[in-house]
Amino acid sequence: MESFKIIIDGKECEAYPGETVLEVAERNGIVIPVFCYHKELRPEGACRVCLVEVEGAPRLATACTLRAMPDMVVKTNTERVKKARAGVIELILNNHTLECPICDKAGECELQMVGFRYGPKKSRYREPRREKDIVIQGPLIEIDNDRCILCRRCIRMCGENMGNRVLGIFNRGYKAYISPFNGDFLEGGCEHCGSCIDVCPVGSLLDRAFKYKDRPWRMEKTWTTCTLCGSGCKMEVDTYHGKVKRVVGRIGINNGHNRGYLCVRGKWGWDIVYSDKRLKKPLLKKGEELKEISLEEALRILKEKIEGKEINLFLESSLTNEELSKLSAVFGNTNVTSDALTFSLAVEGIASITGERRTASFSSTEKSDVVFVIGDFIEEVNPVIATLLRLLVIQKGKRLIRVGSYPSKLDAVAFSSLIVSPEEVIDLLKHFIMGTIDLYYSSGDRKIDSAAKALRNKKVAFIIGGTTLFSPDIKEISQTVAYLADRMGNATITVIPPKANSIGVTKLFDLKPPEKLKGSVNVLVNTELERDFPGIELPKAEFTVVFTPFYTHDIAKADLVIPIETGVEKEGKVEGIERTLDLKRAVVPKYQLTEIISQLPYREGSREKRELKIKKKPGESILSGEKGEIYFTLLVNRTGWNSVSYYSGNVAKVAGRRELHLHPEDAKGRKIVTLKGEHGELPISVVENDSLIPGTAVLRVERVTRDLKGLVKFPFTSNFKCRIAEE
Amino acid sequence: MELLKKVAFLDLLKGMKVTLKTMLKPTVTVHYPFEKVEPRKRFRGIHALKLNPDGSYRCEACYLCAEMCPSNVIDMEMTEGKDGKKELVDFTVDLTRCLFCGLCVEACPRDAIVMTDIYEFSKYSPDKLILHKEDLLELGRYYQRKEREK
Ligand code: SF4
Ligand code: SF4
Ligand code: SF4
Ligand code: SF4
Ligand code: SF4
Ligand code: FES
Repeated sequence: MESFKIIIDGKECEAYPGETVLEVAERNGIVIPVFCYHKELRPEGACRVCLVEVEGAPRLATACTLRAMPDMVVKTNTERVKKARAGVIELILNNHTLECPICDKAGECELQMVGFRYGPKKSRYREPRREKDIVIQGPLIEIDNDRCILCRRCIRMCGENMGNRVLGIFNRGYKAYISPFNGDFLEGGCEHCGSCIDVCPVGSLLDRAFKYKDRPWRMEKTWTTCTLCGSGCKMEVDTYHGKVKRVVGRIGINNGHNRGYLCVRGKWGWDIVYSDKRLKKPLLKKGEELKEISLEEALRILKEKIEGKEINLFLESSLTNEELSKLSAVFGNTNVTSDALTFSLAVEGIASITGERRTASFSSTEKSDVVFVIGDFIEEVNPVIATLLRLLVIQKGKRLIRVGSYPSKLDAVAFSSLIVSPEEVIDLLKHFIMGTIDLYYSSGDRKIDSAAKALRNKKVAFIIGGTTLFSPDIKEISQTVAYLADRMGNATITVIPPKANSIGVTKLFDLKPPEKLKGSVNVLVNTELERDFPGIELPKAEFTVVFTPFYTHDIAKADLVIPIETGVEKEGKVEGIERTLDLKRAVVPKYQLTEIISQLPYREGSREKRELKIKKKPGESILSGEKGEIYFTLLVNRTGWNSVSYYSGNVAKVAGRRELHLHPEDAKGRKIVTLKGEHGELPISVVENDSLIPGTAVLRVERVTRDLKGLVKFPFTSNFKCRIAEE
Repeated sequence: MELLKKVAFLDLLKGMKVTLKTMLKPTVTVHYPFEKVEPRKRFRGIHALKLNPDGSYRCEACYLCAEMCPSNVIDMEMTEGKDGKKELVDFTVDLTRCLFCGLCVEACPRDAIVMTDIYEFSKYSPDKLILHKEDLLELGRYYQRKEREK
C-alpha cells in the first residue's frame, strides 16, 4: 500500500489509505481523547469528544471517523478544539452521577481520566441531574444506567464482535438507557463473555461478582493463561492480599492471541479456587472410610505402593508442561491414557500425510485469504477461538468456509457453510480435493462448487476443532484435510486443542485407549472419570491414587487422595494453540503437584520412537448408519466444560440445561423421549430444532454424569449412534 | 561582713532566689498521669469513623484515605451488602506505624474519618494497636459526643 503524509499538530505523519486521523495520531504518539472509539470496534462517532480542526474545513470533525487524506493538516490542540471538547465533556458530566468513591470503575475510568485532563474546571449548569436510576441486574452483569454515557461501545461489542445482539438502547433522547432486550440477560441470549463490561469506558456495565469488592488500582495484577480450555486466553487476575478478586481480559490492551476476549469460564470461573468442593488434606482409605492424613504420610505410602509397579496413568490435559514432564519421569509415559486421545488421533491423521506431528499455530489464519473450518460447536468448546474466527471475517475481511454436521454460530458470518450428515463429511472434503485437481470438476452441488472455487489459488488456513474432534472419524477427517492441504500447496492446518495442554500431552506421552492399560496401580491426575473418560470403568488394580483439587466422584474408588492446585495457582507453561503460553501464579496454593511429584523416585524409562506410516491418500469414513439410528453429539455446554459450573458459584448462576435437540422430523412432536444406546437408556426432554439436519441430534448436558454411561463411550463422544425408543 | 554573710545565710538565700520568687506563683507542671491537659482543638489523636444520625457509618470504603497515607496505615475490606449498598467488612488502622499527619482526614470525600483527641493508647502487645471497624466506630461515637458537648 502506498503511504502518504499528513500533518498533525505540525508533525509530519505517515498514513495509509483507509486509516482514520485518530489511528494515525495514535501511532505517532499524539493523544486525542476518545469515548466511543475502541480499537476493536467499528468507529461510530457517537460521543464527539475526539473533535479536531482540519485546515480548510469549516467545522470541527471527529478524528475517529475522519479518513486521512493526502496533505491534510490537522490540529488537535487549538483553543477552538479545546473549548469544543470541554463543552462536550461538560454536557456528559452534567448528567453523570459522579459517585466515584463507590464506583467500581474509579481508577480505570476513562471519563475520570479524560474529564480530568480535558474537561471544564467548572460546570455552568444549575439544573438538577437527571435521575435515570435504571439499574438492570443480571446474574453476573449489572447495568447502572445513571453512569452510562451512551457511547454504544457495549452494543457494538455484543452485536457485531460477539454476534449476540443482547444489548440495545431503549427510549430516546434524555430517557435513553442501555438494557438487554427483554431486560433479562439470560433470556436475551447473553453468553456472559464479559466483553461488554471490558469495553465500557465508565462504571455502567459492571461485573456483579466484583461489585463493591475492591478498588481497581490497589490490586496486584498477574497476567496468566486461562487453563479452562484449549483457547489458552491470556488474562489478568487481580488479587488483593493473596485473594482473587476478579479476572479481566482488557480488550485492546492485552497482547495475547485472544486480544483480551474471554468467555464465561475465564471471566467468572476463577472462583473454583474457593470452591467449597476443594480438597483440604490428603485422604487415605482405612476400611470403608477415608481418613485425613498428612502429606508426608501420604507420600510415604505412595512411594511404597508404586515401587516397581507398572502404572496406569489417567491424565487430564490441562496440566502444565512442567507437571507433565515430572509425571512422565515418575510414572512412565507409555502406559498412559488421556482425554487428549482424540486430539492425538487428529494429529496422527495429519502426520500420516505431512510426515510430522505438528500443526500450525492459530496466527496462520492472519496470513491466509480463506479460513476453512471443519468443526462443530467450536463456540461451545473453545468460545474465544470461535470469536477470533468471527473477527477474522468481520474485521479482516477473510472468507470463512465451514464444514460440519450441526449448525453453528459461525454460520452467520461464513461465506459458505456446508452442513452434511456425519458420514458424508469426508466425501464432501473429497469434492474439494477433486476441485483442486480438476478445474472443471463439478460435484453436482452448486454450493460446494462455489466454495471450492473460492479456495482456488488462495492461501487457505484449515482449522479442525470443536466436537468434530470427538467423532469416530476424526483421524480420517484430519487425514483427508491434510491431503487436501497438501494438494493445494499453499495451506496450513491448525487443530484446536480442546483442553489447555492437549498438545503437550500428545507430545510427551504415547496415549492408549484405557482398555489397553496393563498396569497394577491406577494413578488419576486432575481428572474426573465420568467427565474425561465417559463410559469407562477404572481397571482393576491393587491400589488407586487420585490427584485432584476437588472432591470428585472418583474419590470413592480411591485408596489414596492427594490434593493439588487449580489453574490460577500454577506457575509454568502450556503448549497452546498459538505457541508456548505462560502461566503465572496469582494465588499461592497449599499443595503443588510438581513439588509433590518431585519427592517421588524417578524411574528409568525408555520410550520407543513412534514410527509414522506415510500414506498420502485421503481417509475413508468409518461411520455407517442403519435406518432408525440417529447420530448424536454429546455437547457439554460452554459453562459446564471442564466442570466449571459445577465448582464455580459464579458460573453456576448462568449454567445451561440438559436437553436433547432433535429435528422436528425425528422428534415427531414428543416432549420426552427415551434414548437407547448400546448399554443403556436415558429419558430426556426434547427441544425441536429445525436448524439441525434430520438424522442428527445434539444432547446438551451441563455435566457428564453417570447416567450417560450406557450411551457414550470414551473417546468418541460425538457422532455416536442411538435409537429413540418408540413408545 | 564575712560574719554577717555567714549568719544570715546570704549565699543560700541568693541560691534560692528563684525558688523563693516563684514559690507563691501558681504551678505550671502537670502531674501526669494524675493530672491531664485538655488537648488543643485541632489536636490529631487516634482515628475514628463518624456515624450518621441513624447509626450507620459514613465511610463508603473508597480507599482514598489509605491511598493518601504515607506510611500505609489504613487497610480495608469491602463487599456488597444485603441491601445492595457498599459495605465495610473491616477497616483497620495500624497505629504502630501512624505518623498522625492527618492526610487521611484531608482525603476523605465523605468526612467519615476523623482524628479524636485521644493520645493515650499504649497497649501491652502490638496487635492491640491495630484498630478495627468496631473500635473505630466506638471511637466515632465518642468523638461525636464530644463534638456535641462543645
Ligand atoms: S463512571 Fe467514572 S466518573 Fe462516573 S462515577 Fe464511575 S468512576 Fe466516577
Ligand atoms: S456478556 Fe457478552 S454476550 Fe452478554 S451482553 Fe455482554 S457482550 Fe453480549
Ligand atoms: S453501558 Fe457503557 S459501553 Fe454501554 S453505552 Fe453505556 S457507557 Fe457505553
Ligand atoms: S495520620 Fe497520617 S500516617 Fe496516620 S493514617 Fe492518617 S495519613 Fe496515615
Ligand atoms: S476516605 Fe473516607 S469514605 Fe473513603 S474509605 Fe477512607 S474513611 Fe471511608
Ligand atoms: S471517539 Fe470519536 S466521536 Fe467518540
